Amino acid sequence: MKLYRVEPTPIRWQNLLLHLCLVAGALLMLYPLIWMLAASFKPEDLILSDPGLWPKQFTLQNYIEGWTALGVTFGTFFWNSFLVSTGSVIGNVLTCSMAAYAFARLKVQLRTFWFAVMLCSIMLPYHAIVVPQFLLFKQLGWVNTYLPLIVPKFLATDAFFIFLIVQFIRTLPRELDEAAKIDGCGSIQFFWRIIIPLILPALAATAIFTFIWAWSDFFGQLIFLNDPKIYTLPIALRTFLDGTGTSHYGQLFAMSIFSLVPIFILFLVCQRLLIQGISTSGLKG
Amino acid sequence: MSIGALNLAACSGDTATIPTNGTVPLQFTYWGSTVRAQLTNNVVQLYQKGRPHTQISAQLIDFASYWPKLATQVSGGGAPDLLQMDMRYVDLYVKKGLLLNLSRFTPQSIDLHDFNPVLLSQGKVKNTIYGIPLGANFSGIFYDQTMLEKANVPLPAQVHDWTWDQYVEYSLAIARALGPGVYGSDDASGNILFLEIFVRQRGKELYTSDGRRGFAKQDIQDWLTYWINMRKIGACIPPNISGDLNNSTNPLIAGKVAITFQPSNTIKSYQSSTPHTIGMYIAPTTAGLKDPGTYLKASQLVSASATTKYYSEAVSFINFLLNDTSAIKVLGIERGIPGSARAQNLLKPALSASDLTQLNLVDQISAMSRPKVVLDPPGAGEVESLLAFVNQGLLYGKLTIAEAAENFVTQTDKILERVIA
Amino acid sequence: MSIVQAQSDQAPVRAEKSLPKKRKSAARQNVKEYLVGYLFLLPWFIGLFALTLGPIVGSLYLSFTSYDILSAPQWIGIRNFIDMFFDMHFLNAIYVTILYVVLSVPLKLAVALLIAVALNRGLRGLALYRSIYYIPSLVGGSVAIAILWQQIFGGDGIVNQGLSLIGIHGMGSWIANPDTAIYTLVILSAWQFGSPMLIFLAGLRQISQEMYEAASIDGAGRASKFFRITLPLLSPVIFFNLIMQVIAAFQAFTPAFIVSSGNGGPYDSTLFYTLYIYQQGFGYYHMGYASAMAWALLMVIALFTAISFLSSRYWVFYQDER
Repeated sequence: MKLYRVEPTPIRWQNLLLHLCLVAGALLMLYPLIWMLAASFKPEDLILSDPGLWPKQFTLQNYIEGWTALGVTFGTFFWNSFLVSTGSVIGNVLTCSMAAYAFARLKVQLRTFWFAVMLCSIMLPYHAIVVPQFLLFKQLGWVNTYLPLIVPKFLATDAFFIFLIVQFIRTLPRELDEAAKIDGCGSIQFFWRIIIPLILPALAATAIFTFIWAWSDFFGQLIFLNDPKIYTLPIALRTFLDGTGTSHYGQLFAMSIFSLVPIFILFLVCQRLLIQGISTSGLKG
Repeated sequence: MSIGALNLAACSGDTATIPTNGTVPLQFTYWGSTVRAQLTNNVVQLYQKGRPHTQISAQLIDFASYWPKLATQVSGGGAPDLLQMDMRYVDLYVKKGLLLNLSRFTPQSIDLHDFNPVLLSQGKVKNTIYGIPLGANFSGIFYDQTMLEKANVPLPAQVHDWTWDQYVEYSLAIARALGPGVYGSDDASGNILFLEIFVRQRGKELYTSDGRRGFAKQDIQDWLTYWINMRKIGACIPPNISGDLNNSTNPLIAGKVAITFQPSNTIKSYQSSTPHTIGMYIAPTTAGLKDPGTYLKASQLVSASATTKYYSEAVSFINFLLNDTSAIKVLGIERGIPGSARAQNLLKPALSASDLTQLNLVDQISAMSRPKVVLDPPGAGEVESLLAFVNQGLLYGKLTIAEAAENFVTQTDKILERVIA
Repeated sequence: MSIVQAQSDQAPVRAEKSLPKKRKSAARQNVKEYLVGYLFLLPWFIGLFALTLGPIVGSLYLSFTSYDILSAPQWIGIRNFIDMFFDMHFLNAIYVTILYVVLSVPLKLAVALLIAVALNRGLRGLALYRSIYYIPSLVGGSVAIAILWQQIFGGDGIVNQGLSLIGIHGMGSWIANPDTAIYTLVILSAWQFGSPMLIFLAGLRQISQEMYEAASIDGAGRASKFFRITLPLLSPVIFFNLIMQVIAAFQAFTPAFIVSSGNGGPYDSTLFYTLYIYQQGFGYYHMGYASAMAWALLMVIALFTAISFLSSRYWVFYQDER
């Protein structure tokens, strides 16, 4: 695997200008997050009555109290979210790439028809199918477990990623297939040895997005999980907002910051995979 | 019908079959803040200490998500054994036969002998108890004591001794004293709870007992006109500021108004959100009319599911919440003022000054107000949103008063009709 | 290319010589290929028939019923579909959603592509920029966004503070005004361009450097390279992002739900279509009506997607075309 050499940019002032714009842009991206971070260190009664950026009083109370606010500690919620998200990632990366390979390269009868069916499954808003889905999972006895959240990922139900990976596979020229056939490489081997390494960026994207979506999926997790011990982060965070009484914004911000840290780290780790380009000089070899 | 079968079993004194390993698992869902979560968990632990064979899983969900989740659980036949119920939904859930008839268990399993009867009636449908209020509250006025002192505008000494017309004067005086950017009153024009008080002062209710509209177009017009005037003279907060804060914070907390409109039992959390001192009042009355409009409400009810397998344990827990001394002390008045006189007396010594004010006001209202006897019909939630919608049209100049009132009345009829069908 | 051509030239000649044997093993080969195809699609098929189709058909059925979730559905035929067109909120929701799609998707894609191309240049601190530009997409689903957005677009928010610095005063709140509230949500969407940006970046990285080098040798300038090499080779990814962002925009829910506290206000100006579906279905327990609206949406999205696919023949270039 070879990293691309990128175009050298000889003109320095152009670079500087670009940097300036990017930095300005970065501040725009970050301002809300910075505000939230600052607010998480303010005492509760000052957060909204004094909305300036710099905390007039500094406190760690929100972090300490927020951690145990729900009886079950946020450590448990973290772990639960981690379980669900990791399971989802494995399921999606595995099965969506398989399905995508079939749609993009293999011979399947009525391929266009099934592809259309696959796409249509994304077009119905989730709220419309959640009640029938709940009834189905209730019959299976899977309510109040993580099964309704993870098993569908192992059955390639996230058509978004199938479509994504199909598009990436289709950027690979057919000569690869022909060359492989000549070498006596079967379809399955071709998939593992050649296609997968070549679409690593798409798989990395799948992994990152799946993890983040599972990490922040509120409604699905709300509907299927009853016991607070198996609550995940989105449910726990939402309880800080109580329409009928107080909302504990300080604790909400503190725990939100906490919950962002792991996905940010994950993102930092995975993005290299995302960006590592593969030289198609493998074709010549 | 399953309810009939359950009633028979209850009469004969049977308990439901307890699983062979002896543990009875109960699910108790409720909404509230994380403060309520801690209190509830403590109470559950207390209960389980003396009863090792009962395992209660107390599940906190935020209010907005509570109803979608509950409905979905019901659709699958898995309603939680114990649940908090809201006045807005009681009628609907009883009509669908989803709540356990608790009258069957009183007085032998649930002691209600000293429970405020007006409050208790809130949980009754056709004189049968389907939910017992966990606390009483009312739609009240919160004011910022610190700001009022600064403005040098004291509110009337007799707490229910002011009219809507006087309210205008007070608000204007405060607004003038505290300068630009700060207003006397919050804008309640889109708030159906206070429209309700206004309508009740005229001797009517929002809804009739057969689920139809109980107010007239003129009532709406008068209400909306009042608030247009308030905004015009600068006594109450203008729409672009109130709209701003609507979704995230209360204008009182943000220091934009001195008076706001909130359910009485939220005073404690309001107090904790600001360094100023917050006081509580009853809503203004209409000059010349005797009915104060404000009425005693159940802040929430505790109910049991009609399909619960362990109704005697469920009922026992309900009784514990209402009558056990240590449970009463743990729960305090966070959910509202308790309905039983014993509970109130138990808690009185430990109450702070503002808590006592809340208690006294609740007692006052209980004594002086006309009880609300009609439960909100199933379309009431839509009507609430409709008022906010129509009011927004008015606020932003998209509708005239006549159009707004007409729209509100016609659409309300449509909504209520659809649900009855 | 030549290898393929050579093979296909030879094949017919060989076939004529030993027809029966060739045909039999070719047939067996075919069956094997189909089997492999189905093997790879097996998880998806199981998922489709066991988990996806049931609920989808269920919701189609519900759209012809009056269903309040708490009791059994009652058949009412097409009444839901008729009622929709007399429902003022429904019509508002359509308008708001279409406006949102038309404004936010091109903006988001343009920004995502621009930044992706800029970040693809191998600047120093590239990884850091990339991460920072992705942060909004992480924060965006958070319930804290309501307050954050108010801090920015509210009457006293930093947008107005910034405007007053350059002399524009008295703008009032952007989110409390029904005429401008939707635009703050468009900006919120564009602010979260991180996902399509990442996908563009991945796509850019798969473009062979040799093409650019060859073009440089031929004397092509930067603009020419972008329009003649980058865009065409990126077109499958652009196509994907376009379709996905449009579908996502039509189904947008969380931003409006959080910023307007679920009411679509002020005055329905942020009443996204799926927000209205949620209100009707889970707020007022008119689940049959909500299902009907969901299916109407599916028709529209399916129509758009079909048109996009048909038109893609003219502007999307796949390297795997025979």
